[in-house]
Amino acid sequence: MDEAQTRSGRPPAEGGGPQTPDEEIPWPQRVFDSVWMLALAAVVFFFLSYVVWGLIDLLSIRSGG
Amino acid sequence: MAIGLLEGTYGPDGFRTCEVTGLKIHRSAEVPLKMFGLTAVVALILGGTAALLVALTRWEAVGLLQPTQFYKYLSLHAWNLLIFWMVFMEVGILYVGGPIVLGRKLPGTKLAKIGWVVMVASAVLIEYAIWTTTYPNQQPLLTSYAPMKSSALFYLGVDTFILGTVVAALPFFACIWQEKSENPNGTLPLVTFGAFVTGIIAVEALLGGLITYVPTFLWRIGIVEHIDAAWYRQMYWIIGHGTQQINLAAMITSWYFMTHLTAGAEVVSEKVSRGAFILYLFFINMGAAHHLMADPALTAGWKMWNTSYAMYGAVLASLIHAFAIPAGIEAGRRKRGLGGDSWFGWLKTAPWHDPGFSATALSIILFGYLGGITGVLMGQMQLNTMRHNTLAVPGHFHGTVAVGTTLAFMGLLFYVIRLFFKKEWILDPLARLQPYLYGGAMSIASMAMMEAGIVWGVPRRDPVTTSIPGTSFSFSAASPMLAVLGIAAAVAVLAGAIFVLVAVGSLLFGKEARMRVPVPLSLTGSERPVHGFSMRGTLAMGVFFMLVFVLFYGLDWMWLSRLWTFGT
Amino acid sequence: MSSPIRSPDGVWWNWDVNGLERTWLGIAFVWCVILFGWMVGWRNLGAQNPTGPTTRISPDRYRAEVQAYEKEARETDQGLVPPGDDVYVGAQQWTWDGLPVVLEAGTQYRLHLSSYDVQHGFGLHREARMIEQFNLQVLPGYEWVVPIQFKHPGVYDVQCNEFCGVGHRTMHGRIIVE
Repeated sequence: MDEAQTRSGRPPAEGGGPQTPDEEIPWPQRVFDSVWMLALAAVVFFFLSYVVWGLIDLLSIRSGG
Repeated sequence: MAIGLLEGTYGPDGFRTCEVTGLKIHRSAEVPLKMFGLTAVVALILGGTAALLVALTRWEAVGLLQPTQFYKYLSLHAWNLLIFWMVFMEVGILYVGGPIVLGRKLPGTKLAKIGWVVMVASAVLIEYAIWTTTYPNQQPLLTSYAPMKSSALFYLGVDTFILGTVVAALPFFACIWQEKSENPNGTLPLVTFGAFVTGIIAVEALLGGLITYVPTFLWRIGIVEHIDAAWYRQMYWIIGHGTQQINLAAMITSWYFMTHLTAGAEVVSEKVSRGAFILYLFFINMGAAHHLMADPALTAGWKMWNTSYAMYGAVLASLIHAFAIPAGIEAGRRKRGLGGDSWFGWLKTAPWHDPGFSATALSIILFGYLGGITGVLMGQMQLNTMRHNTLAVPGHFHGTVAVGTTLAFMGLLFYVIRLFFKKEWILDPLARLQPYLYGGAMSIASMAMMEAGIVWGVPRRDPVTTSIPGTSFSFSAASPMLAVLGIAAAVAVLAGAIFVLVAVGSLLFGKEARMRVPVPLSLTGSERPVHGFSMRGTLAMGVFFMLVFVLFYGLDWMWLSRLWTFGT
Repeated sequence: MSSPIRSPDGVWWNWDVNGLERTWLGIAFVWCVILFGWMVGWRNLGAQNPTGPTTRISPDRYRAEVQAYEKEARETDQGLVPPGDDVYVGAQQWTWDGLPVVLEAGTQYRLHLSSYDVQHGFGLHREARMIEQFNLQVLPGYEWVVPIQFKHPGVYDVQCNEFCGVGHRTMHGRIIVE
């Protein structure tokens, strides 16, 4: 196997900018790469903004007469 | 024959390497991908046939169907195209964006196959339920609004279809999990990231579907006593509009993929494009609220926060992609010395003869102008009241899911046929014409519906325009535009039939594919990074787009201001 | 090459963003602020908003309310004339209870909307005029009171635009404004 390939068999990664593999990864890049955390936060946000707030609106409606 | 289509040539480890992209493709991913792609095309055929019958009814000079038949075929049209065609394609897209782009196996291929079986059986059940609907049940159309009752089998079929889809999506998520576990500091390719976002948006939509349809099924069979109409609407639209947002995210992911594959495009800024996908992830499903603007019960605050996708966060995302993708083509082609140095040479010399490219490019342009602008306008809380439940709504969404997503998926399928099924396209002149014919005809149909709805208030979901029983009132002023709709829709269906003819014909009778794309991926051009190349052509097009947007925005608000006054 | 099907290598966060792309980001951001601000501004300052108090009410109770209102209203050959500023409309398969109704231009009314059975759509447009319409959703179980004031006399057609069964297309009514 080509040593440049990862274990998953994917062709070598490429970049379009300065190649500094030893540079520390800044936290925004880490956040963008934390896909499961992002997914969880997004689902929670949607649940609160759309479902919970909407349910509160519906449950706050008073009975007429 | 079908089994033969699913086969391919693989090494002893189950992998093969694509000569065009260099991707390592495993059998466990490619076989399900082909299954889902083929099934999607079957749904396209059914939904397209129903489309013709519906359009020829709304064109009253033909007036093909009686009202009861009209609602049946409208339901079949909606479920086959908005749901089955789209969802089967999108599961396939997850398999491309995940294991195939990553060069991995698809873990749990059995789940993919079980999911497929359940989805197909459920789709058949839904079609059967619609086909056999009689009193006291009413046709569900797409929305099956409670408390109007539809067939119990229908609700059951929807529930099992949702579950089947979730099962089919699990292998994709498992694949991402494995990739991230093995490479914790790595970054997923942009297409994979887009597919992941699509997958999470889908999970939200599907969960919303279960929250809606499980209680509704129980209500229909008498176990649950009462379904609240407002709660139903709010929950329903999570899957109702959410499925359309899956379409949006999948389409945009496919745009990045196809422009790279066919036109030499690159990613001009990873962080900007990823940021846009993250905005989608958080905000896009809030747009379900677009359907609830003209409703009682919900507060104005809830309406405005949700309809705006949190202060237009997701619209910002769309505008980002709307620039990044054409800019990727422009800078990518300039980098490769394609098209010269002028403002638009890169665009003029693009492979417009290639149906993969032309379908993608047309989809980008038409989606933006016809679908995107109208969507944002109709999503504004107050403007919505002028459009709600009129034919302008289908006008808008044919601008998104027909000339946007469907056209993009057709382009994608042309290359699935060549690169995965390894068949050369038959009837080349027809293949080249098809995206233009479909895009053009469907655009006209979409605009005809918008005009009828905006100008005359013609209702959607209605088989008649002029002969309304019991009253002399009629929408006769809109009849010419509905004739335009009928003719344009018929041409669009013809273009869809041509697509099916070329696609299926290529699979059955096509020669072995010449494995090539218009701009070889090995041509990388200059050493300078892509973001250093000019994007002035794209910016010019973007500014023009914004001017059109601002114009229609102003017009819409002007028209609203002249209406009678209403509201608190 | 920055390929969408390859992992970007290194610290891509620090890669430059093209100046024109930045310009576009600025334009897009400003437009989003305008979109939100205008909508919120109109809600607070504008004269057309789909807003009004909602109460829960059973279809039977609402029908009784509408019938009580119709008893109080004056019947003319053009339609009902409301006793006061409240106008009651009851949607049902497949007719509009309370319509036709005769109203005065320039008078502020409270339009009461609810359904006796399934969901309906109150699609109101001014006869033979272009782009003069609005559409409100009518739900069973909820009474929505929307303040409304007509500027111009004329005939206003009401066509149900939410699919409500086989007779849906016949569900037409009228508001006459004098």
